[in-house]
Amino acid sequence: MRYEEKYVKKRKIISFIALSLSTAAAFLGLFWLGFILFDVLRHGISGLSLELFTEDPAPPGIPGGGLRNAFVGQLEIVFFAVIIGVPIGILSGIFIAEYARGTKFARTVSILSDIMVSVPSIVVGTFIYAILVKPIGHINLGGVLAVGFLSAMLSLVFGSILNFFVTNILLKLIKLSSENAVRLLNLATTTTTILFGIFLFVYLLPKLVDKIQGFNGWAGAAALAFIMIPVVLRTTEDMLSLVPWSLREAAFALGASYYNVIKDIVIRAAMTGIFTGIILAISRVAGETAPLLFTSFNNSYFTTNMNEPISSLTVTIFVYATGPYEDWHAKAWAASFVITFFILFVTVVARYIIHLKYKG
Amino acid sequence: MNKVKKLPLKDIFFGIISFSASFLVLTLIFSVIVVLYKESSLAIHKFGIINFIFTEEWDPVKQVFGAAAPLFGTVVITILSLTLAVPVALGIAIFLSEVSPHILKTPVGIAIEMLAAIPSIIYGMWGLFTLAPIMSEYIEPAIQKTLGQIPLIGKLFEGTPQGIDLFTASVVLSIMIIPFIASISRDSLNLTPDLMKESAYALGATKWDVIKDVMIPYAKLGIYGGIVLALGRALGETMAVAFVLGNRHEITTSLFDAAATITVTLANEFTEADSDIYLSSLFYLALILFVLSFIILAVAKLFLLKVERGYSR
Amino acid sequence: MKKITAGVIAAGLLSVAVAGETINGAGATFPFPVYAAWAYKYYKETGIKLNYQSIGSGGGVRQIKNRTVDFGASDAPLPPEKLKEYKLYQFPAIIGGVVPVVNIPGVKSGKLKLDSKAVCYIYLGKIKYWDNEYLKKINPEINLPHKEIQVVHRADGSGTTAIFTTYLSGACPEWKEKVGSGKAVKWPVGIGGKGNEGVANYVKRLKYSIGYVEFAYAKQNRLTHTLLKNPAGNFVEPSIETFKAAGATANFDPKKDFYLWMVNAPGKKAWPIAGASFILEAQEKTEVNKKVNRFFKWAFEKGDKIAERLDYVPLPDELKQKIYQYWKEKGIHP
Repeated sequence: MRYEEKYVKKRKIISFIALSLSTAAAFLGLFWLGFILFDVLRHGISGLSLELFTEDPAPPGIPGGGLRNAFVGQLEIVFFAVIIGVPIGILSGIFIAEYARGTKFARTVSILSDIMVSVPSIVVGTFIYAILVKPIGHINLGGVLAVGFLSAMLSLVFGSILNFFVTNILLKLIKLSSENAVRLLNLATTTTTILFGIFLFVYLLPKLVDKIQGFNGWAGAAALAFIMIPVVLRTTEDMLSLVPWSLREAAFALGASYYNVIKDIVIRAAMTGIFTGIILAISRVAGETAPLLFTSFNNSYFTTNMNEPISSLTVTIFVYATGPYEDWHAKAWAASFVITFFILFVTVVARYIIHLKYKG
Repeated sequence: MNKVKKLPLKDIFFGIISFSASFLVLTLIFSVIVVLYKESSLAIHKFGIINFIFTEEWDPVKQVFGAAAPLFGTVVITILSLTLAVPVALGIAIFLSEVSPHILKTPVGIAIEMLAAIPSIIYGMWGLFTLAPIMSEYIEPAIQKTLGQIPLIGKLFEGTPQGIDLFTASVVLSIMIIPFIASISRDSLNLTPDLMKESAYALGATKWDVIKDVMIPYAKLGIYGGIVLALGRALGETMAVAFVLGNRHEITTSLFDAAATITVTLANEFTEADSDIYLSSLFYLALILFVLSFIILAVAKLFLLKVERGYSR
Repeated sequence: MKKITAGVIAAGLLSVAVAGETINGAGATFPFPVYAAWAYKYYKETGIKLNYQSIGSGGGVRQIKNRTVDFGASDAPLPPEKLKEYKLYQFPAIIGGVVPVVNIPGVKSGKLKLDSKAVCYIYLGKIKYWDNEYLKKINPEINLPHKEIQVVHRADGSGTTAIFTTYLSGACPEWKEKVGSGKAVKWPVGIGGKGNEGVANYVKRLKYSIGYVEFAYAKQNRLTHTLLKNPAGNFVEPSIETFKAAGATANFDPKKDFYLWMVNAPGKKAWPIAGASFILEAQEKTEVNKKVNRFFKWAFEKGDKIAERLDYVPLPDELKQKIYQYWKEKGIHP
């Protein structure tokens, strides 16, 4: 009896110690959080002023000036990153969750998007540099690819319109009897589409020459979009999979086309989740520095022109913090303060929305 | 006779557009591999694979480059930061899952996740301005006086503590990855069926017994998956480390020495590499890092796949 | 949905709207303070923005080689063969000095004496402590502490490094053999800072450290500079006079695209680590070069006072004339 009591007591003590340690760990985690946030607050608040937002930087060694160009630049880059990244993410998420549900294609895209997420952000920067910044002759590789892609898509659209026209209208007017004639017509349609695509490509390509040379804001936006796409894609795919199939069946039973079903039923049901996923993706890229270092580069002046290097808050913080001027350090802290609390605010709001939606 | 309705135009459009989007995603990832390879081909042909990985020399004057030093730094801070982070993160997960009173669970959980939301450059700045001085004046000398006196282990802590070194960088990185491990572990621990826990309690187990012998084994694979994911994150982190690492292309035995990682080398030298072979070597480093992250991800997926299969038994 | 589309189109238009002309340059951190000051004034007078990013001379060369910027800046001049290979023009814009800076509590600016052997051995790692015999010998009045010297150098491709290591190679055969000179070298010891800014930052933070920076950085950040013994045998302090003395014996030759190192100048009062900072332009971009040179002509005509205030040495008048002649020959005179 006594042996067992001692044994039980020993285990109880061990349990107590272990659980206290885990509580201590939690406090340690909270401590780091508080410490860092407090530091950002302490140093950042003193650097805050109206000029920070309304004035542009002064040359080094001359006090004063602000970071207006960085704030505006950051907003612009993130804005365009969202414009580029979110639609691609959502559309591809819809495609693999709906049209291609369960196919190998869908699984491949899913796995590949996970790989995309794991690419270190600085490697993304080097990739975008190689295709959107480094010039090959008078244009760059990314430009060529983008124009090619755009031409392909537009010609596909053109082709489907042509096909529609041919099958529904032309054939009704001209009663063609032989099968060969019909085949010939289809061949003509396809050839026209391809020619149209090539024509578009050749027409659009020269428009790129000397337009964007070197570092530019679009490259920065593209780098951030690259990071956003897989996050949005996964969220969309997951949220859409959660929508019960019966919902779709009911809509189909009423005669709706798949497109209508997606647009009016499924998306509506998954909207909150997708929206929150977008917000979280934005809060993730809004604080990124590495992908911008060799894409949008930096600019000491205020500009909204994305064809040129444009300044961003994160890169500015990097440059100012590693510089020797006290004035720069103060500004870096102030900028850090603004960006940290903005991102934290957005994250908390997003989580609160999830909480409301799925608990209520 | 009712003809089968032909697909309306809108549907075709939407189908094409959404297909193109997913096709684009497909091509993007392949393009990354192709582009990285193309850009590093110059260096790959000059230095080979094994040779490049094991050469420590990084000489822009003689144009000889090797990945050994940045790789070493990357591996060291990844391992060290994980070592520092995992116990704390597990402790937090256990706290959130079993110990914490119910009201505290959500706020503390959110607070820990806020650590993940702080941009990495803020970690870097905080590391440089706040942590590094504390390290060089208090913590590192203290470590030197205590652990530094033990014969073999002492070698790890040699040298003048300046605060800009592998140790500080690892500490900053560990704080950054704590939330990743903590939240996945907490979710995995929460999945333990109540029945299993109650059976253990019925047999007279203490709370810690239940955690140690029931919950953790049950959540084991999920926890591993979380750790590996955090590993991937640590591998690719740049800004949190760039400020406090020191940029020294050398392999060293002391944690109090400055070093280099692949990410920091890229950040510092990419826009300035003035010869083609230099830039190509940097792309080569990027390729190596990409491959490493990919392998880590594959391993993580394997673990998580096993988790799913295990549960279906 | 319509509102969003309208907003996007508006943003798109705004993003490419002409917002004043911009000239993009990148390169040496050495002249960054003076280029930035000039650009600030130029913008006020003409509305043209000169966006100069100080990423290091190595970066400047690379970016202009790739034509990703309008002009590059490098303190390490390119020899005519390289200029021919990369199809670049080159001319100097400003003269300055690289100074050793230290962070030793109690030691003030202009007090610590160093000679080339001392600097050499410190950067080779042969002199490890501040109270080394040799250092004590040349500084008998200073109570040097027994502390390890924390060496700071550049982590990036730097013209400042090129000037510094050319000086060391010229004055110190052991350095020349073991390490050599260049924009980036294999440093035997020390940690690397990014840019002049990074080195200044580290020296400011790390006690008992030594680094090398362009003089403007030392002054603007109140770093402690040292005296150096020049080839004539005198210990001199960095200043406009000593930099000018170094420049007095420099002979820039436009036929060699002004390729010249100014280190180890022979003058009695010459600062041993002086150097010029150069501008690199793409040969085929005539219109762009004219725009860039318009800025530099303005700087040559009106920027001297600004440069001197920052302790840079403006180019002597005859050198400016040589540059104008060079421009005329190449068809890039504004």
